[in-house]
Parts: sequence; structure tokens; C-alpha cells
Amino acid sequence: MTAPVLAARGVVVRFGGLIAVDRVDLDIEDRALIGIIGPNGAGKTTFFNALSGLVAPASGRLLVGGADLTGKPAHVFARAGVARTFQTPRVFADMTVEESVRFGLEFAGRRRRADGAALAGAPAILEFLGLGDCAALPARAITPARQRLLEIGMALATRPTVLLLDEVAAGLTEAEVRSMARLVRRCRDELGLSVVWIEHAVTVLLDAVERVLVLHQGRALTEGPPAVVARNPAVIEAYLGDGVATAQS
Amino acid sequence: MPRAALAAIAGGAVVAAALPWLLDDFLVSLALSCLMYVALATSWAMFSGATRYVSLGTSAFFGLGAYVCAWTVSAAPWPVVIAGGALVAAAFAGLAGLAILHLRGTYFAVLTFGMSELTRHVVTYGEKQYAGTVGRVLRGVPSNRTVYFTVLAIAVAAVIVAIAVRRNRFGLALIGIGADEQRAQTLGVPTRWVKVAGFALSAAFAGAAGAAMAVRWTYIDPTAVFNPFIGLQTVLIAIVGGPLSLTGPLAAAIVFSLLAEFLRLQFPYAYLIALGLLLIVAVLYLPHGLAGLWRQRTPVERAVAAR
Repeated sequence: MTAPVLAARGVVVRFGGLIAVDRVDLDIEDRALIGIIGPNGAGKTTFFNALSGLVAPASGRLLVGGADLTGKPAHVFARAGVARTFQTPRVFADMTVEESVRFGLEFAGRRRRADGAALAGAPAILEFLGLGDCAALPARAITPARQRLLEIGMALATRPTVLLLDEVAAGLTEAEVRSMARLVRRCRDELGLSVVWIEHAVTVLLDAVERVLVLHQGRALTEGPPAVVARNPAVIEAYLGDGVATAQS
Repeated sequence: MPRAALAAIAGGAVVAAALPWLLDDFLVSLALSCLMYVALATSWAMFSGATRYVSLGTSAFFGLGAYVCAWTVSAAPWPVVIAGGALVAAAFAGLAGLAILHLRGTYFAVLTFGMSELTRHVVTYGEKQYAGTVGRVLRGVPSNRTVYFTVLAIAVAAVIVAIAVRRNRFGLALIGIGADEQRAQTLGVPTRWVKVAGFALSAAFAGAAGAAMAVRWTYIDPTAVFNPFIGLQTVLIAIVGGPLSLTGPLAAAIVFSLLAEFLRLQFPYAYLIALGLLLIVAVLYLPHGLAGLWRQRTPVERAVAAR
């Protein structure tokens, strides 16, 4: 068995007296497609911040491709192949769509090999996302839905091995959410990435991913295949409600 | 852009170089002041304009350069004096940057201002304690013409370096930090080192300018060379000119020095009022500074405007 591309071992994140993430473990294998769900304040985004090096865990370890990067700054994680998006799209407003994608290629992506043609350059990445027609527009001038795609494009430009997607479907229409779910799968199937996806649109998420981690009050409540997790009484009580459980069975 | 820009810089430099033969002493000293602010505003905008880390620390770097000159000018060759001013200022900015560049916005601006004041007091204390004097008379200084050409060279170097930085990855990293620092970091920019290096590079020009300008005063003391007005005026020029552009701060430095001199001579009491009003107008109505007035809209901006 090969080492996971990204592994969290007993990760704890504290803000003063508050424990936002409490001893969470997660092994992200090569080409894994993992969903993270949990109520607001469960620590999902904070966990992502730890996984991408934006906050240093108070204890626990973060292994990227087997190397211990615990406590290293975020650009080291990016260069090691960990890419992420943010809940509210954080695109470079004054750059064009193409320039924004080139940014990642110029920095973390520069030293990393592109596996296949899809991440070879900015045009290929924009093509993959269906943003080819707005390459010359400034990032602030495109629709919020497209800004979410651009966020993913900027992350892909770092030529990652792991893609962390934080609520990329939030605020999208139902049709857009479904196409986003297809895109997430394509990132794994066509680009060969490991993908971790946080989303509140639970039904779509459970349909798309192969494994689910449920966070509740900073702790890992359970982890397993979507169908099993959706029937877990503790998960239903904490978060899902009866509707999703019925839909999944 | 690069060929036209280089031609423009070369042309401007040739004209500036001819001025000592064409103008009287008063006008040449006015031109010298223009060149000094070209160097200060251009190098300030290179870091602070791109990253939006507004620094009021120019006075500290300028003053340190001036004191390096005062300490070494009678003993060391002139180019070494200038390089020494640049290096000391850059080293100081690098160390200070390590300590304060994690603070943004107002906190950073206030701290850089405090840093200038602190530097002034430390130099005053050190001079009193070890040299037994506060001011220094500079001896063995080069001719006025040498000083003029030195400041001209520093200004040209500042403009060329600013162009080079804008065109390479380092400049792109600075822009990324200004747009969204955390995002830039998650895309692979080693933000801390880029900021420290940019801050130090920018300070080097202020230090060199301080070293060159010090001999113009023949007598210097901390109050004169660590004058916070130098730092404030640099920021004012760059913001009025347009901190994100290259030509803006350059042109504003020239216009400003002339205007400031004119106002100071004609309306000594209204001088600062006029400068203050100009800053307010620039901040309120000219987000891209004067550069935004003559700059042609890019296709991107037309697209935004049409939306």
C-alpha cells in the first residue's frame, strides 16, 4: 500500500480556549473522492485551513506524500501539491481570468510536472472548466458561478495532487450544482487528482463522493461510504434529518 | 512597452543631464529636488503601490542614508558612500520588515511612522552619547554637479528597477499580495520573503537618495534628515500620481516639486493647505491617481464599464 497523498493525524486546531478541530484523522489516498459534511461551526473550513497550511495545528501531524509538513507555511503545502478553494471566491479582482490562472502556474505550478495535457497551460485549464470564452475578462466582471469555476482553475494551475474544495456549490442554482458535481468527479476521473469536497448540499455530495467524513463540534463523528453514513443514527440526529436517510436507502 | 519606455527614460535622462548647463543654480536645485522625489516616489510605489502596504517609513531610510554619508563621506570614495547608504537602509528595512510586515493596513502605516521616529531618536541619542554632538558638519563633500548626477543616476535606476520588477515574477508576487495575500500564498507565493525583499529593495533607493542629498545641506542633524515630511510627501506624490502606475508617481514627482516650490515661495502659509486638499481630491475622485486621467482604458476595463 502506498502512503496517502495527504494525511491528517490527530489534528487539533485551537482559537484561544475554543477547540475548533479536535483530534481529526483523515487519510486521503491517491485518486480518492471524499466528502466532508457537518453542521455550521463543525470545523470543516478550519480543518481545510489546517490541511492547506493556513493555520498551524496545536497538535497532530500533517503528512503530504509522506513528508511531515506540520507547521510549514501555506506556500510549502501548495508547492507540495495541496490546492484549495475558498468558501467565498477569492479571485484576483483586477486580473483577467487568464492572468488569474497563470498566477498559479507561475508559482506553485512552476516546479510541478503537468500530468497530461489538461494542466499544461492556462488555455487548457480554462477549456477544461468551460471558461475559454471569458479568458480576457477581468475576474470581477464574470458571474459568481463562473468565479467559483475560476477559483477551481486557479487551484488547478498549481498542478496539485490533492484538491480541497470548500463549498464550491454554495449559492448556485440546482442545475449549476449538478454540473459542479460532475466537474468535481471529472477532476478525479480525468485529471487523476484526489479531491476532498465540503458541501452543504448533502444529497448531491453523497451521490458524488465515495467516502464521507462527518464532522460535529470539531470531532470526527464517523467516516465511511455515503450509503452507510447516511443511515448512521448519530449523523441523522446531528445533521441530516430523516429526508436524506430515506433518499439514500 | 519596454522599448518605448526605455527610449522615454533615456530621453528624460539626457534632458535632465543637460540641465546643469542650461539653467541657473536655483532652477538646478529645483530639478535636483524633482529627481529626488522621482526616486523616492517610484521606489515607494514599487512596493507599497503593488502590495498596498502603505509605508510611512521613507523618512527613516532617507535619514539613515544621510547619516551613513555623514559618517563616511570624508573617508570613503563617493560611490561607496552612496552604496553604503543604500545597503544600510535596505538591511534596516529587511530587519524591520521581518518584525512588522505581518501587520496590514493602518497598523502597518502607523508602525512604519513610529519606526521613523524611533530611528531618529536612536540616532540622536547615539550621536550625543558617542560623538558628543547632535548635528554634523559634512567635510570633503563632492561638488554640486556630482551630487546632481548622482541623484539623477539613482532616479533612473529606480525607474528601471521598477519597470523590471513589474515585468517579472517578483512583481507579480507583489501584485498578488496586494490583491489577496492569503490566496497568493495558497497558490505558492512565499509571501513573507517576497514582502521583506520588496520592502528592502524599495528602502535601498531611499537610503541612496538620503546619502546623496545629505551633502547638499553641509550641516545635518536628525530633525532635518529624519523629517517625517519627506515620507509623507513621498506617499502623497505616489498616491496623487497613481500608486499602481509607473508614469504616475514619476510625473507627479516632477509636477509636485515644481508646484511645492512655487507655492512655498508665493503662498508660504497656504502651501500645506493646498497639498492637503490635493491629497483629499486624489483619494476621493482619482482612484488611479493622475495616471488614471490620461491612461487609455484597456479592453478589460471597457468590458467592465460596458457591463
